[in-house]
Amino acid sequence: MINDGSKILLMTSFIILSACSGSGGTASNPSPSAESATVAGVDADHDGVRDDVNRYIAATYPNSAKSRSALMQYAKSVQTSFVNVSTARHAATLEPQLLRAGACVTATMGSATAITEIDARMANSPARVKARSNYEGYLEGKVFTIPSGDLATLCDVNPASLLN
Amino acid sequence: MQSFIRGMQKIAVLLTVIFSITSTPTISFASVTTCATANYSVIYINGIWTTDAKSAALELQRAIGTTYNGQAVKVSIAYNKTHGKTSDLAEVFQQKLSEYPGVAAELLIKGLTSGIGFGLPDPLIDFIHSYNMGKIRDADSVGYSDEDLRDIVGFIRGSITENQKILLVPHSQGNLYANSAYAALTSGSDAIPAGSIKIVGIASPAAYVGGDGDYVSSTNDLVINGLRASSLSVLPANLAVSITTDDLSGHGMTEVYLNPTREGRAEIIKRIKNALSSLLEPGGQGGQGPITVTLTWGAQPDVDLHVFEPDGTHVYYQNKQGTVGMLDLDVTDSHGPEHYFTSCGLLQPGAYKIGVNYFYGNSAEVATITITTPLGSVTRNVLLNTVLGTTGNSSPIMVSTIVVTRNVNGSYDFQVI
Repeated sequence: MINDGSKILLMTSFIILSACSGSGGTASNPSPSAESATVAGVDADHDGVRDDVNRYIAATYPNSAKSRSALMQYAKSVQTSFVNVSTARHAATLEPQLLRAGACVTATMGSATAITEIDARMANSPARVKARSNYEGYLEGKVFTIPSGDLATLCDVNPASLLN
Repeated sequence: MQSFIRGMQKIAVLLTVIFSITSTPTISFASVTTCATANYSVIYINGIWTTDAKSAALELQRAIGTTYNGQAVKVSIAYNKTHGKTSDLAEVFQQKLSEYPGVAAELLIKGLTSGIGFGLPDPLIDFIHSYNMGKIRDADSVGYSDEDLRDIVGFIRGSITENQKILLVPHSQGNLYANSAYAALTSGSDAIPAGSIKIVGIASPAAYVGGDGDYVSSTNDLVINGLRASSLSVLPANLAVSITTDDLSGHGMTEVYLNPTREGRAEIIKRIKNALSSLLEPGGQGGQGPITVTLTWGAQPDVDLHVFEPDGTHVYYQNKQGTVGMLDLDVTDSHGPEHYFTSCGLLQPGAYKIGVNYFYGNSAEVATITITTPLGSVTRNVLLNTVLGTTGNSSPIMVSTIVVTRNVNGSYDFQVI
């Protein structure tokens, strides 16, 4: 868990780093090359989702906070799988979280097709494809159960609390 | 002013580093609040590309539902083994990005691994078809070892012990994996009842469906059609699923076969439900709960399961009733099983330590332990060289630990170490 002190440190860092400027974009408006330069990409608001994916979700689902919330939950889990998993044990721990997020998307949106679009946007560079392949390699031969339950169980943010 | 900004930037970087060191890891456990039991266990097996598995399995779960004929249905994913055959994906992706600079990266990676969308140049589409057909041919030539099948076979044996009926729904190359698993499970002296497991294969490149199961292959599936045309022995197409711009190859599970706007989905669900109706209860006597542990072994007489519950209670054949769970099956013949499960109402946070003891036998034996939680299953094999009898009761060979924690929402998290 992030304590209050760490939150203050993080916000301070974000505010100061946002003052950077240079050619090819700014910290608050990075160039496309900057956004795909690393596997992690740019996450200026530190919400755990890459800014380019964040923009795609916002632009594609402008009228559904529920859909955006579910897809953000899924994208965040995928991002973790790319940048924060280096062992089979980590992958086995994260995969149920990914499935839960996917189940949240399916239950909220009535379909799993949006997951395919998020997957494609998350792995949109050779390095990210490699990161995903590394993660998926840990899953081979293993069995995971898809969670079932109501939206409050599956989703980090209960859709009932969102307006649309 | 610039000097001031640069100085503040340095401070910001330092603060960020400090934050990274002091914050806790971002990986968190999945949580469940329900203590669901299952009568049917539907297992989706992905094709050559793992990426497509989640959307396909989730779509399959949505299509089947959580109950059938008033009985609970559980859906799981058994991830296929690729034997490294897909390890060139990043390089191929980079190469094609260079060759076709006008093609969006998202469209290309989706075309390679999920479905060929509208907008790709014809030569690139031809390449993707050949590439995917080649992957399936490679997988067909390798086959699957016992180690490849360990977890899916263990998961199914555990489910059978708990009286669940099994349906495999493989897609594409996953049909080869399913056929191998079916053969392993239904042969030998420890075969499971053949009437309790069936296969409904989708877009199969195989020559048959194990157990004379059912299948759906589209006449417009260009990948399977291509394999058939290349003299590979492939089941004939049996359904016309009309082309969609979601996947011009006609092969994708999510984009084509389970597409709600196309003919395949209803037909697949009909065949799945027919298969579910025909399944027989295997007669397993093991109970279901948040944690279940199934022990099986080979031909030797007796291997024992030992479970140490969080409060230290030692559950085994001489003390079958624990604080949280119980040893409800204690078969002392060849193959077993022995079985432990926890009850929903009594589940406690803490560590559940799992061990085995080679009680009686005449030669080396292999114990297979399958641990199942609401999140999935882990199967481990342990080589047993020494018969210890009652001497081994106090110090069994430790196999795994299940860590159960309770989160702020009141639900339980599970991690198998």
